[in-house]
This record gives sequence, C-alpha cells and structure tokens, in this order.
Amino acid sequence: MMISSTVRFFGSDRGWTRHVPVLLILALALTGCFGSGSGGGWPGSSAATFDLQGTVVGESPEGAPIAGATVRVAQREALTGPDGTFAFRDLPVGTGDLELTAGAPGYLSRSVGIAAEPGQLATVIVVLTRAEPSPGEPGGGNGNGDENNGENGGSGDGSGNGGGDPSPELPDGDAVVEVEIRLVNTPAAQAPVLKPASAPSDRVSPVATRRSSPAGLSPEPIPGQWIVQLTDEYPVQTINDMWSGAGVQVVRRLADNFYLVESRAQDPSPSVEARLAALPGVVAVEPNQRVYPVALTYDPGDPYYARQWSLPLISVPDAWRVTTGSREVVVAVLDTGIRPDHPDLDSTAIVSGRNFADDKPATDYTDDARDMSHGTMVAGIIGAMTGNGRGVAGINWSVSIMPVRVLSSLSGGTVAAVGEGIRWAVDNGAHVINMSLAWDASYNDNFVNQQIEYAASRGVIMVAGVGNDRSRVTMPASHPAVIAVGAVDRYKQLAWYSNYGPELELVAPGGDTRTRSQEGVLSTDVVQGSLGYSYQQGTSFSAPHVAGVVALMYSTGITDPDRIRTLLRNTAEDLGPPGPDSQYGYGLINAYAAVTQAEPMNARVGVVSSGGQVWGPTSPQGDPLRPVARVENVAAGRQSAFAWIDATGDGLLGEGDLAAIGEVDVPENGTVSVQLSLAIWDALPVQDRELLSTATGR
Amino acid sequence: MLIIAGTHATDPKPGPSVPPPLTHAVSVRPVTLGGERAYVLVLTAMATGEQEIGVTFPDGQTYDFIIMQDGREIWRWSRRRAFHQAVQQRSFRPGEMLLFVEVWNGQDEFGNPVRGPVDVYAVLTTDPPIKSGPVRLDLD
Repeated sequence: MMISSTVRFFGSDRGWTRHVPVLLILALALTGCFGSGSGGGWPGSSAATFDLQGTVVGESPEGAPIAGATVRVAQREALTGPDGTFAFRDLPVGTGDLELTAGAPGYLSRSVGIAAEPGQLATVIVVLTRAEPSPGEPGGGNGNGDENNGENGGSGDGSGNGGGDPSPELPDGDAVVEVEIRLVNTPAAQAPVLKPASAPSDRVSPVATRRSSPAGLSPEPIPGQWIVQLTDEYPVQTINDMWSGAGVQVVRRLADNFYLVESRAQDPSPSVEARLAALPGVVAVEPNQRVYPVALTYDPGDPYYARQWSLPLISVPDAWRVTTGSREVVVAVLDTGIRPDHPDLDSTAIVSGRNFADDKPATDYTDDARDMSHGTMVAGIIGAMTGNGRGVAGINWSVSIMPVRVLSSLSGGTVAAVGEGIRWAVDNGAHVINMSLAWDASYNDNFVNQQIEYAASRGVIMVAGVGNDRSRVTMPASHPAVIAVGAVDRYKQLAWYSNYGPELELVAPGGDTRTRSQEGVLSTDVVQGSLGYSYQQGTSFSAPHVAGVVALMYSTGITDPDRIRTLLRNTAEDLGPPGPDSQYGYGLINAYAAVTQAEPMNARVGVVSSGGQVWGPTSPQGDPLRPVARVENVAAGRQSAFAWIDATGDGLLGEGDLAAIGEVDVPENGTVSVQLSLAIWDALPVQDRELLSTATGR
Repeated sequence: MLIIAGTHATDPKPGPSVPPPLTHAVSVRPVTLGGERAYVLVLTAMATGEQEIGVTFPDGQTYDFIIMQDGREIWRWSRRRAFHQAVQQRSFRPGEMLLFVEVWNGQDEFGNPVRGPVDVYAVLTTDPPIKSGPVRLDLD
C-alpha cells in the first residue's frame, strides 16, 4: 500500500568555507504502508516510529554516491556505506520535523527536515555540493574541458580530504602530458597474503569464500609525530610562527582544523606531547600511527601453496576474488593420460576420456609412467583439488578435466593421434584444449590442421606450448588458431629453453630448475612409482597456466574465443621490448585483469598538482596495444600523473581496482611522456593510495 | 623403442666429437620381417667413466634416426611424431648403457622404396644433441 505524506524540508549549508552561496537540492520520496504490506515498511517498525533510508550523493541526484559520509538524525549517527546508503530504524515520530544532517570531507554539509507518519519507510536522497575554494585557496581545473565527473580539484592540496595549506591556483598551461598505460602483475612479495580462506563448501560454486582482515599487524605510533586538532583553521606558517620555540612544527594541514605536527628534534618523549597539548589553539593531540593495507588475496590453505610461485606471478590469487572456476567448464588435456587416483585430483571432476596412442586400448587413458606423469602434472596445474588441506592448489578450484591420451610416456605419439584427440575432445564437449606437446612446424599435416580448424569453428579455445629447443615455434602452437605460449622463470625472464617467433602470443610460468628444483613449476606427479608432487620445467607447464586462466574466464561468462584472445593480449604484462615481440609475445598473462576485463583502454587518466588541481580525466585513444592518454593544458612544474581502471565496476576507486600514480616534470610547453604501470590497489603503497584517492575524489 | 641393458651392440659406429666418458654409436642390421626387407637401427649410449654423467633432454624425445641419400634427408624416425614439452634430466651411472632400437622399412617418407646407398645417422637428442654416424648402407 502506498501512502503519500506531506514532507516539509528546510536546508542550510554549513560549509568549511563561508563565502559561497549554496543551492540546496534535495530529492525526497516516501513510501509506506501499515503493518507488513507491500511497498515499504520494515518489519518491526512500531506505530510511534518510522524508518528512514537514503543515499548521499555528490553534485546532483544522479551523482556519484559518497562513501563514508556522516548522517545524523534524532541524536543518532551513521556512516554511509560504499554505495553511499544509510538507514535508520524506529525513528521517533514527533510533533515537529526531525532534522537530518549529512556531511562529508570536501563537501558542504546539508540539513533537511523530515516529517513522516508512523510505520512509514521514508527514502531520501541527500545531495552534497563540493566546498568551493575561497579566494587564494587552491581551485579546480579541468584542462581537457569535457570531463566533469567529480574528479576535478577544488578540494585542497591533495594531501588529505579537503585539507592542505592554502596555495595559489595554477593557471592552465600549454603542455601536454602523454600517459602510456601498462598493466603489471603484482609480485608475490608485494601482495600480503591472508591466513587460509575457506574453500567453497559446494565445489561447484564459482565464487570463493571471501575473507579479509588486516595483514596481522597492529598500528604502531610513529615516533615524534602527532595529529593535532586546533580550535580553527590557520595557515601552516602562522601556526609555526605562533609556536616558535616550542620545539614542534606543523608539517602540513591534513583536513579542516587537523594538522600533522612533528617534533623538530624527532623527540618522541611524553614531555613533548604534553608541551604540545598546552600550546595555544590546541584542542586535542594524538600520536600518528603506521597502518598497513588490508590484504584481499586468497590463500586456499593447501600446504604446498606457498611453493607455487607461478600462481601469484600471474595474479591468479587475485583472480580468485572474482571466480574460482566452474565444474561446467571442461578442459581437455591432450597428453600422456593422467593418474585419476592421484589424491590431489578430484576424481569426480574427471570426465570420461579416451586413448589414441597405439600402445593401449582406447578406453585406457591412464598414464603408466613410473616417473613424471606428464599429463598428471598438466592436469594439476589446471585444476588440482584446492582447499582440501593437501598438496597444491589448481588455478581452477572447480573444473572438469577431460583426459585425452595421445602420447605414450616413453616414446611420444603420432600427429595423427593428436588430430584424432582434438576431434574427439571437441565432439565430446570440451571448451578448452591444452596441448603441452609439439612436433616440427616444417611438417605440415593437413589432417591435424583440419581438426584444429574444426575445433576453432566450434568455439573451442586451444592452447599449446611453443617448444623447448630455443628455436622456432613448433606445431601445433604455430597454427594461427592456437594460442602459442612461451615460458618465463619466476623472475619474469624468458626461460632458457623457450622457443620464439612471430607466432608466439603469450608467456606464462614454465620454470627453470637448473640451479634449484624449487625454481620449477610444482604440480601433482608420480615420483619413483608413488603418487606425489614434483617441480618441473618446460613450455609443457606454461601452456596449462594459460589454459587454466581461460577456464577461469569461461566460468565468468567470457566465452567468445575472439574476446578471450583479445583480453589475454590486451591485459598481458608487456615484457621485453615495448609492444609485442618474438620472445614474449604480448607479454605475461595477467589472470586478474583478464577475468575482470580490465583493459588499459578503459583507464581514467589525469594529472594532479601538489595543490590538488586536476587536469583530466581522459581516456587512452588509438592502438589498444599501446594505450596512450593525452592530458592537455597542464601547468608547468612537478606534477603527478595518475590512472586507474575500475576493475570492480562499482564506480569507486579502491580494493580490487588497478591504479598507479607517478611524478612527471611538465615543461612550459610541448609534450612530455610518462608511463604508468597499473597494479592492483591492494598492493600499492599507502602513500600512493592516499594520493590517488585525493586526485580522483573517489 | 628404448632398451636399457648391459650388453654391447655389434659393429658399432662411434660418433665423432663426443668426449669420454659417454660413448655413443649407431649400428644397422638388415632383417626380414613378414617377407619384406627391413633394417634394425640401434643407437647405443654408454657411460664408460667412473662418475655419473648428467644429460638434459629438452623435451620428451630422447633419440632420433635419420636416413640421408645424396645429401638429402629422405627419412626421419621422429617425423609425424609428437612429444611432450617437459625438460628432462637424466643421469647415466658408470657402466650404464642405453639402447634405442627402431625398425626402418627401407622406404622414404612418402612410402617409396629406397634404392642405392644411404647414410644412417643417430642422434641422442640431448641439449646440445649428440650425433653419431654415418653408417653406409647399400640398398639393392
């Protein structure tokens, strides 16, 4: 039941600067019903109370939601969530209006009056406008003139939310900053890893259980630094003049009337803090503390996971926050067969296979190798049981493996058997085919070529290693319809054995055990007759990394082969000479960027001054393989170029997004080029995250 | 076919430029199989020193046989064969011998009977490869 109700409101601004007239915009809607009828009203609302929900947005009713805004009503307070929403239950229905006040750093606060009937659910959208700068304070600038989505400046010097020492606004300049966007995988050392996360209770579930927590470290005071609240806002120099001789100095204004203060002698003693608290204008003093980023990388808890350097090297753990695969995706492993009885392979996820090698019956696709079961290793990389407290983790926690035996473990196989295996896999439901095998590309076999083209016509994605003899790319990798994968070691260097050539498309971890076995790729294996694990090297093991990532992409609904291939290319970490090359192809696969479709062409790019003035944002144009954004009319001087990709799709910059910021010396005129390597937000230094948040206003 | 045994091959043709203690040789034996002529090709590799020898195979292939005629390759055992792409490390214990045996049917890669003299080579496909031969064979 819908009941309309009279709503009266008033508004007033309570900005931190006092000289700008304010236009109040408020959208208000009421829905309500009595009792538990449709149209609104939460269960439990009493007859003498009503419920209130709303959203705080910026600039317009259709503006971006403001997270972390403070909303006060009826002596109660709430903070808006990441989506800008808030809610109050059981607000008292009185004789007069209830005053609701909303405010956020960098915005003018607003007050509105709410009048509602008992039992109603009131919905309100509160629109905040940015705090306009007073004369002499830093203002916003939009060098490109055609973008205005809240990322412009005017909010201070970029050192905090709305804070910063007043500095003159920079006039637009004549320089152009060209920003080339690259993506990088986050090295394992820079990505804090959590304690083990829970494996999905339903192994068919495509989404991992998400757990986040601080990276196990408590905040610690920074010696000789304090956050000081003063009675009002003052220029930094004025304060330092006032406090001369006190042994402390203001480093910078943080926000509003809060300042970062440090001891001139770096003296952390309590007496300094006590003396600081007694200085004129001081309201409160608290130690500044070091904090650490919250990690959102998954550790599935398999005991050998820490030895699997190859997975974080290509951002697989980050990809797990999006998907851990699906049993609906079938990956055919054309190989020596597998050991389905390996305890770290889920026998229930192994679909019926076939043997085409001439040494065993057609129904026997098991691998009889006593040492190194090649097919078992490949299958384990793609989809070993994960989160089972045993062995290694697979790239896919859930996937279906189709073993297609085309090689004998002792003497290889025939090209004809490979062709038969491809055909059989396609006709029996495979979505992805991994071929960690090769033959000389000078031998052009029509039968196999036709089977490859048959598979491609059915939308099956094929992946193959390029070969190990430091020579030309072998078949089947060299076929245009097959993704050719070379190998790198754990330091992202081309593996000593990896073949190369124009057909090479991507690289992935293949390992290098020449100095230490642990530098190889770890997977499920047969060792001296026993089921176990071993480290190995070769393009045999780089290909299944790509096949595994393709399966992850498939599980998110990215199924078009051309789209998959384009994404893999565009999101790869460029290695070697800039752009595609014969040794690294388009680069090192980036699983997270691939599954989130975080292509560099989608980046938002700008330049920000130390005073918080922003030019841009704009987006890259031109060649997707060399995405370059032009930020125009930038003022000369030391500025910072920034870029970010909304990988999470929530419109906000934060966890899970890709970003980077870096200094650039902008000339008086002309063009300066800078390259930004975007990494996942969670692994960025805290300082960079602060600067990015200020620059983007998100 | 791979055989690991302690016996020695007869009429071996040692490979040049293979430093001891790994000796390497190819031999050929004409045979008749099902009434048709054929040739048993044998590659022998043996560790003759007193210490273990380590070799690296870049992939699943460990040997090859090549038939040349008039300077042109007319047959190769590994043609039309595929191998896995895992690097393999292999050790030879002192005195250990590996025999690799394959049968050639006397035809070129297109199935045409071969006549006249041919040269037979064998390759241990290590990194770098170790080649032995040739053994001259007259096919009449």
